[in-house]
Amino acid sequence: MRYVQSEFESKSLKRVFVMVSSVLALTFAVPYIATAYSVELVKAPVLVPESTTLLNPMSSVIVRSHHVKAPNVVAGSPGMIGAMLSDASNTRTRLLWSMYPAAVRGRIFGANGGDPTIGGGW
Amino acid sequence: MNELSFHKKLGGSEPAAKHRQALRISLKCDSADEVDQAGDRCDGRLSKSSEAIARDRQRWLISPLFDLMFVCGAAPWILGFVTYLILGSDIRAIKGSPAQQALSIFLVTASLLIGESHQFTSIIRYYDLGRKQKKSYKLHRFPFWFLYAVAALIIVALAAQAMGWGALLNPVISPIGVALVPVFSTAMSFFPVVLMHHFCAQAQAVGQIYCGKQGYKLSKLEKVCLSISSWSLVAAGASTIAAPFGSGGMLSSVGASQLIAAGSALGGPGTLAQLAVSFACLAILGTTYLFIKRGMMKSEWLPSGAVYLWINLATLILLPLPGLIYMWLFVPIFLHASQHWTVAYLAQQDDLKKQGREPQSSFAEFAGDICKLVLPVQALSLCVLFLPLIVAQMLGEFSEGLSSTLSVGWSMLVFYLHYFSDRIVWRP
Repeated sequence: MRYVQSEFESKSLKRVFVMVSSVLALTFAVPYIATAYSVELVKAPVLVPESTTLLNPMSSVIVRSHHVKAPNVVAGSPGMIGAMLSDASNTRTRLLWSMYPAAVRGRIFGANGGDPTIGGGW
Repeated sequence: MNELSFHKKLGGSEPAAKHRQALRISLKCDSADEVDQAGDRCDGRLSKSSEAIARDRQRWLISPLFDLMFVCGAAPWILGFVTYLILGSDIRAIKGSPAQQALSIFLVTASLLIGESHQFTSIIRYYDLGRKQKKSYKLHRFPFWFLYAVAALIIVALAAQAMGWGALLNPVISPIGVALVPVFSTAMSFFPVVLMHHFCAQAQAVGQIYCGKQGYKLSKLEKVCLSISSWSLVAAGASTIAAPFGSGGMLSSVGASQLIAAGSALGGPGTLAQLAVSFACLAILGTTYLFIKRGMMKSEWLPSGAVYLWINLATLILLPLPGLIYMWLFVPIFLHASQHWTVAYLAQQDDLKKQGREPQSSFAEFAGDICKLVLPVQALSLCVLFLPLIVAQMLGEFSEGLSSTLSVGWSMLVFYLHYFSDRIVWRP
């Protein structure tokens, strides 16, 4: 490779890398984590008049939980990594196949969880 | 006399004197001598840092940090460790958690944008520049004709399936069916070996680029030993971590199953894999001895980029730790595909330089180059790999038959095209 990388390009690549990572994080990870943790945070106490309290007469306040479900942008994503790790752990000879990008595509689009040996994966 | 008039009197130019005065104020120096001393110190630092930058340019493809992370493969270790910390060690206890969902989204995005699409960088380059190369690589081009025939078979099969002519695919009564079955079974059987070879050969070539950049010329013996180590890693990987059907199913269509069965009968199950791993360890030890001997005798040490990359490759393939599966989650994307994108970017810049373009001088030019490299690849990836699946999913009645066979056959075809074009386009 005769081409010599300039310092400028190196800095620009770093800048692009930081920008892309930030956009990815903001677009995907942060909303998911935020929404996920809101399951806990939204357990804010909701005051209910004492007269309607039948379940716990000792308490003047009933705490209700508002469970907010995170939007499922990618089908099967909640259990995807667990399934991939589990597959690879159960059959080590399938490690590379389980992690291959085509298998990830198969897990999203396919009917059999990205398993090319069964079909319906890739 | 102030400093400006003093410099004028000595014949110095006015802008230089102004610059010196500004420097004196910024450095908080009381006299011109102190400014000189501070300037010398600055010059020393500058020349030292410019030397370091020049050295980095010689040693690394992009920069030390980028190369260590995405070319030599530190990123999969870091990301794998983070995943391990997030998910915990008990894989069976992993349930669909929010953190896992976030990780999945990250993995899926990276897999689609970096992993899947990297296959098309070499395919586009082959059909754009690769065929105009002075060296024709006739033998290397032969597999393409075979792949075109396979593509035609797949299209006929899809059309037959869509039109309801199922009999056309029946291997008992149709020549198309007769041709399709051995083609797909052979492609599937060879896939683990070809995949591991693709993975190891690329790492070997990138390591050799590091050697070339630092003027570390490999002797014939070293090259042979490297190739033997690489092929032994291919054999070890194909029989341990890239054999989805188990070792009995691998290469079954070419009669290797008998060999595997014979090996198993002699030494118990998994003998072939054990032999391959043992041979790989010996080959790597031998090659390491050669490089260390050269370093000790001639003070010529293997470039650090090549050392990190090759050690990483051998560790990931041969180390039998169960915890490595966390790292393997990210290996295809952040070791292999990112390496490929880096080489593609460097090749693009090399081409532009040959065409006489000046080095990039602005961020807009850099962004333009990245877009020219990335956008066609992403567009082709979307059209070839995803649109057929999306269309098949939208047309619900096709999803069972069409989407499954289309995606398996098509994925194989794209992979093999990528594999063979890779072996041509990055050569001089």
